[in-house]
Amino acid sequence: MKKFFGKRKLNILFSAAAIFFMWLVWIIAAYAVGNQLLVPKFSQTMSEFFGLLADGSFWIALTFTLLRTLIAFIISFLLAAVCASAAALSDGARAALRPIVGFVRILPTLAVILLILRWTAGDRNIAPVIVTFLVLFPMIYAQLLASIDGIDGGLKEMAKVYKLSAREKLFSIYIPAVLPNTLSQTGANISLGLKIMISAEVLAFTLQGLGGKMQLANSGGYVATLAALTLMAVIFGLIIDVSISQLVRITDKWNKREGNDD
Amino acid sequence: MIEIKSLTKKYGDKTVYENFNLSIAEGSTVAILGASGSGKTTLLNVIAGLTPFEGIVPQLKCSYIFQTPRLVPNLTVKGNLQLICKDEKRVDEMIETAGLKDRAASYPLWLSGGEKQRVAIARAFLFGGDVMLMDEPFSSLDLKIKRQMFSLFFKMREQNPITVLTVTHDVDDAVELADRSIVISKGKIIFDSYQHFKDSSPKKEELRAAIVDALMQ
Repeated sequence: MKKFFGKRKLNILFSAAAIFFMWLVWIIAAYAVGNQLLVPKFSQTMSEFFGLLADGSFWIALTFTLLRTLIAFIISFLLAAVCASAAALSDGARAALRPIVGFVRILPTLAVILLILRWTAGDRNIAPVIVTFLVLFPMIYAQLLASIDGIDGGLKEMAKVYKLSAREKLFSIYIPAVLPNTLSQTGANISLGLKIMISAEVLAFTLQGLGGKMQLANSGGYVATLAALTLMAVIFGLIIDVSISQLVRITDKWNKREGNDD
Repeated sequence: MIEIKSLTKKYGDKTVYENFNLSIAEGSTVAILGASGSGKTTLLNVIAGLTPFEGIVPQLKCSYIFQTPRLVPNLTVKGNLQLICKDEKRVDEMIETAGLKDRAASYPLWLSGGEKQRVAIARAFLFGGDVMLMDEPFSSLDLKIKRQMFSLFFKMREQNPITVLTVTHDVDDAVELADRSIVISKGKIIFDSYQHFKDSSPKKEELRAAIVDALMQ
């Protein structure tokens, strides 16, 4: 079978089989439960799904959700990059950042949303961004620091002996070494950001967002619409992940000129 | 004179050096030999300030040719050298001297082992400093390439005189490169060609035999 299909085709076949299996589970669950308020029919969900594609308010909500996700990711990434660079160059900075990042990591999301809504006089657009940042920032910081710590110790010693400046170390050794790993994690990080953003929008009842639309559908008992919106969120999360993976593959090809000499 | 006094270095419970003393004349090339684990590389790392120690070791500006070239992978040959020296003219001259003119725009991945080590040697001479430390830099190279490296080393040394401290396990390398050879065992100097031959200048064969005797102890 392997010879007939080839590895790539075989993988596509397995993926298709998994999707078919999930679809089958849905059909069986809808039939078994027999209550459309709990598990909507596949055909009804599909009808809502295509209805959403033609609905202008859906696209506006999606755009706002994606924009908020992107803003939260960019802020998280930039701050994490600055903090990880400081931690890499100074043990003191690393020690100072440890409790701060630890605190941010364990902050309970729901409590934070309620507090932020209180502080921002009920502005339901800001709270999801802050919550997504609070989840993404410590995670990206940890990823960057792990990548920096994984840099060849020999190169670090060389940099010390030849008295390279902090700027030279950062731009010539640290950033190029960390970049491939960071890029490969970006897709997954943004997808996770989207997932958290939608959850936060649901909790904050952000009307101009996918989460707000989901909350609205749920309140009105439109379960098929809720399922269609969830399906949309999954599809757009996948599109982002795959698009960034392709971008990483291109940069990987470009980076083929590089390599370690040890 | 570079003077190391009362050096004590421990890794956990293991004592590598205890009250170790060594004087090195400026401008000389000293080869340090010894069995694996005798502390040869540790001595270089102490001098380079790469490892903590107790005792008196002068703070020196060191260039270091490591066992592996340790080139920055995302920089070209020229980029690696420019990282150490901002004077482009000097860098270009060094590239020429090292015979790397055709490879100046190449990345380390594209270079052979010998070419990478040439860059490492060029980098060390460009940096200069008070002392050049070499940790078996030619051990992984085949004989032909090693001969080329020796010629390059002598050529650069002639143009840029500097004190050299080289660690090697190859007696022939020590005889070829150094004007003083030291054998270390259990953190102590058990052979020093200066003391052994006093004022006389030994023939290469005599020196080789004396070093081998010391290493066999």
